[in-house]
Amino acid sequence: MRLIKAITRKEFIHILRDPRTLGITLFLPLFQLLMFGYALSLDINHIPVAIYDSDRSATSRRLIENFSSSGYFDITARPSKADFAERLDAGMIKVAIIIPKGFEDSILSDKNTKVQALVDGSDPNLARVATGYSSAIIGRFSAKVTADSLYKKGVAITRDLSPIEIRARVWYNPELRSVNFIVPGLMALIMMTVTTISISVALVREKERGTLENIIISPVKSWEIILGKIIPYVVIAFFEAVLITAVGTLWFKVPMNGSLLLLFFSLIIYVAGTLGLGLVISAATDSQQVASFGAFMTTFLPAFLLSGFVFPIKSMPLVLQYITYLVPARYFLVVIRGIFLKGVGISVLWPNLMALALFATLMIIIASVRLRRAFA
Amino acid sequence: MGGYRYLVMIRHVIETENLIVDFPSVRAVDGVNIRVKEGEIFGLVGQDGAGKTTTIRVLSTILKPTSGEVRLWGKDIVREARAVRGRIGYMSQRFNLYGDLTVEENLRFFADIYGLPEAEHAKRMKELLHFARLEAFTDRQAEFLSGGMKQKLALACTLIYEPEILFLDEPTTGVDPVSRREFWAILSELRSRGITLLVSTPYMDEAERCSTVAFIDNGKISMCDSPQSIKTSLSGEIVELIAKPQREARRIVRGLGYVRDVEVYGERLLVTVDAASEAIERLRCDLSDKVEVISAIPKAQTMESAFIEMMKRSRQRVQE
Repeated sequence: MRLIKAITRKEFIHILRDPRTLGITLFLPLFQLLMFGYALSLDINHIPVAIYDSDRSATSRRLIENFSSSGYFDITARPSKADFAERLDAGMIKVAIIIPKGFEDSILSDKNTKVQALVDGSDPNLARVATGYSSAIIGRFSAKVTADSLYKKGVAITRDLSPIEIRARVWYNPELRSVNFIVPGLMALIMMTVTTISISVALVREKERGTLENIIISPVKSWEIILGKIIPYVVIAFFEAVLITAVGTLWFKVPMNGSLLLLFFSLIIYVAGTLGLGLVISAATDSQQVASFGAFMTTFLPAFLLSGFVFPIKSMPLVLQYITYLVPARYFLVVIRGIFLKGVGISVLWPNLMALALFATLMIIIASVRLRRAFA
Repeated sequence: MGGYRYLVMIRHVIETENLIVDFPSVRAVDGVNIRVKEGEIFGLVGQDGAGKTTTIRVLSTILKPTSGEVRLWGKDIVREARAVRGRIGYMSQRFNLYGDLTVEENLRFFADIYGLPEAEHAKRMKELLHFARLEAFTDRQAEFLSGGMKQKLALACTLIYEPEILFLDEPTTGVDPVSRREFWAILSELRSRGITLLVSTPYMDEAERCSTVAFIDNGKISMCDSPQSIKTSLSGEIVELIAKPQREARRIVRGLGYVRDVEVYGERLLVTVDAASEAIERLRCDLSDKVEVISAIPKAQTMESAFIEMMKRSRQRVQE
């Protein structure tokens, strides 16, 4: 115990005396949070659209009105001829709507007519959403038009023309704010990269400077070295988590429905594993560059792509789905979203916590064995 | 036989048997056999890249040998690493303390990881700070110490848990002459306390201060003996001869069968022979009727010339 304490104390001195490292470990995560929190919005609003109205009638103006008042579209141009190609090419607009000549006449004479929409498909997600919104707006408009024409013919319609309506109620995130989904995910991502990189660099630095030799030939056992190194970084990770939680709930207004205690408890299990991973990486290399690059590659990419952070695991190819079981962020994401958004407790989350504990134990054992083998 | 072995084990605290260390592209240590007696200063002397550092790193259990055996107090260091660690100290050639920790914090860290009882900390640290002449710098971060002070701090750190054997890898390389002298005074003091020291050095004046010197070259020990015996057996003894006319004297001396080498230093001739006192008689005799011998006195041989002589011979061996 005394040996672990000695290493922990020394490690704390290193961290506290090096303002740059301290700044990086505490404020880089904050910076990342703000950047991702704003940039990585999955909500789609204010899609720039150009409308070419060659009918110039009361009805066509009403349709245009429906677009502009929806909030989803910003009408940025009303060109006098159908020259959309350039604007789409330049990315100035994402959607172009073309209302044909004789639009109103067709409607008044009970004939079918068409409105054309050109959609920029280079961003498939946006294209899908924009198409959906446009169809909804036009669909509602044409129901209204039909009702009007029936009314003129003496048929009064008292109910909606599409009689079955879906009453969707969204749980956990009723406003469907993507930031509620992103911020807890970012916590998993940031904690993993920062802890893994900082501890692997710290151990490799001891190798590079030869200071590890002094510890190796002392009676300290390798697991004591590992624990002594991990503890201070767990403490730092705790502060980072507090910071992220504070900014997430107070600034981004992410709801916190679960237990803070459970959140921090899970976090300690999670970072024990990511710190263990960092030590495994640093046991394998002698250069700080290789260590930090290795740590980045084994944390950021899997945590970003294979954890369900943004991309649902269920829609990945089967092989990748199996690989995701090796990514600790996958389990932590379930835990942290469960706590933040669903407010669920340990009775629901325990399988994921077990997986995290297993990962942490494995990493610490591997790191101890590798460290011992390198020097024994 | 058993009794004899027992005696040997008491006398030799370090023994290596055909120690070999291979690195991917080179054999760094090639069959080293050394025996170090308890309480001596054993010098490992050789050029850069001769295998000094690798040998010391194996002896201090940092590096595993490729083959061969190393025993400290008769214990195999690979199989019984745990039994010898904590009784040995290692000071690396490179400064390997924590630069951001102060003198006191570094000492304290060593005391902690070597399990020095808390109650002894203060007393022991005070003693060592005094011993290393670092009392005035306890709160200075190690990276801001001078080269000599760094080495003294490193030594103090390895001494905090009172090791019985101390391995020092070129402890004075890059240290100014005054600090070097001071450092060696400290080493002599340690020896007088009964600590066994194994020191590697590229400096011949330091080799001279050891009780036993082993020359290492290309991973092999080419010679191992006391400094005096090495000097004598390698390069013989030297007679400083002043005679007139010098040129004539030199010509004659060079032709004599018992003279190994003649070099001119100003008005003096340095004549290398097997035994100085005997040679002086013969030189006086051989020269007296041809030149005027003003003086012929024995001169102390240096380790430097012994080392150069040895390098010459090993190079000849390679050429053959």
